[in-house]
Amino acid sequence: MATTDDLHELARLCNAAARAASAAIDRLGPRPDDPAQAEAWRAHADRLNAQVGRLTGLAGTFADLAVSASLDAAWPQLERLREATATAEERIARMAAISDAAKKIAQVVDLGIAVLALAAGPSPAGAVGVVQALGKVLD
Amino acid sequence: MLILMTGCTDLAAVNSVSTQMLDASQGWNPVAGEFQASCLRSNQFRDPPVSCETAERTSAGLQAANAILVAYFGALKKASADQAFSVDEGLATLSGSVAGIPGVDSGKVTAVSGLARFLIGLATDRVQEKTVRLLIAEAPAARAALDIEGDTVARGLGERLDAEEIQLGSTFRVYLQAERAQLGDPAAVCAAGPRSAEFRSGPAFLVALEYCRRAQVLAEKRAALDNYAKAVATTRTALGELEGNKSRLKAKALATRLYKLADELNTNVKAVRDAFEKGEA
Repeated sequence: MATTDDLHELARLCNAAARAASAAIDRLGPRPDDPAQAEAWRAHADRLNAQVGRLTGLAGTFADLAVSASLDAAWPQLERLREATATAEERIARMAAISDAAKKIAQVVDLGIAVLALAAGPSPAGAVGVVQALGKVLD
Repeated sequence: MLILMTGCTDLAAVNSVSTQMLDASQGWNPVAGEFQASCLRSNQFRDPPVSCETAERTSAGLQAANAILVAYFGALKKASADQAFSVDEGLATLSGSVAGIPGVDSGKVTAVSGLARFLIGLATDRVQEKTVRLLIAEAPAARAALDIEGDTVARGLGERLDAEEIQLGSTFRVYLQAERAQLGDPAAVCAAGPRSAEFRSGPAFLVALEYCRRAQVLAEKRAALDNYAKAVATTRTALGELEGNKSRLKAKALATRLYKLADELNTNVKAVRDAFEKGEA
């Protein structure tokens, strides 16, 4: 992970330089009352603050790149993890399918019982029973 | 609670730690998003602003990696839950229907369905353990991803938050000094909260107040980074335990350790969520 470490080190150096520039702003002290001096103070402070902005921007970019480099290196392993997860999910789904199949068979048996009952003694209630059992099978 | 639960020697302990690992990994997305969020926040007080494209790419890459981890822990949780591998419900419905056939001996139906349930139970137990082991066999790959989370992400985000804090201090220093005030030692000023009497003007006092508010949010995020690193380390340890004991997943001693790790994870995940799901500073 030499690249990653180097990028982290660059981020650290940029932050250290930014901190130094920020301390220089502090040393400028409050803006002077004299208009000419105040204008020079403003220009100096803005220049230092822009320098801090560039350095903190670079520090952030190096930190991002360090993370991205590690992520790229680990991606093949993550892909393997994704495949193993998909296989496990498939097995779990298969078990659910077996249970569902047993339930479907039960519904067909219920329908058969209802038809037998209707054939043995036709009645409106028996007919309703067949329709209900058929509805469950077709659901 | 811990003692009571360790009495179970089935896959309940694996299921419990998987539930916590899933919960922990779901809480890592706001941490991943923080690379981009920190860049955008810094740009609010950086002139000229910088591009946040690399930060956006990094956040997206981490979120994609997290999604794989979340799916993995989710599958481990499901695979170690008995309900996923039970066909009891289907069998009960079927034997109930068969018992309803006119002339069928209900005693025989009960006996046969009991035997079927026993035999199917044996087979499904094997499939369940095989599935859990299949997932645990890939634990090294998951740990490689966790190494990035724990080491590089925590370090990289620490550097990003450092950069944001420096930028915040620098810009607010300029604002305050332009108002003929001085920030001085920010930690000391913000610890007790800025007092208006210490500032020459109202705007200077308001700038100091806003600075301290933003610095406080950053300090909370930084503190939560420790909890994040701990949660990742605990997840890594839990995976190591599963990997090292994959032939003894129902052992009582392993269950005790797994329940303890699940408790630890629960504590750290809450702190991470509280700090990183807050959004804007």
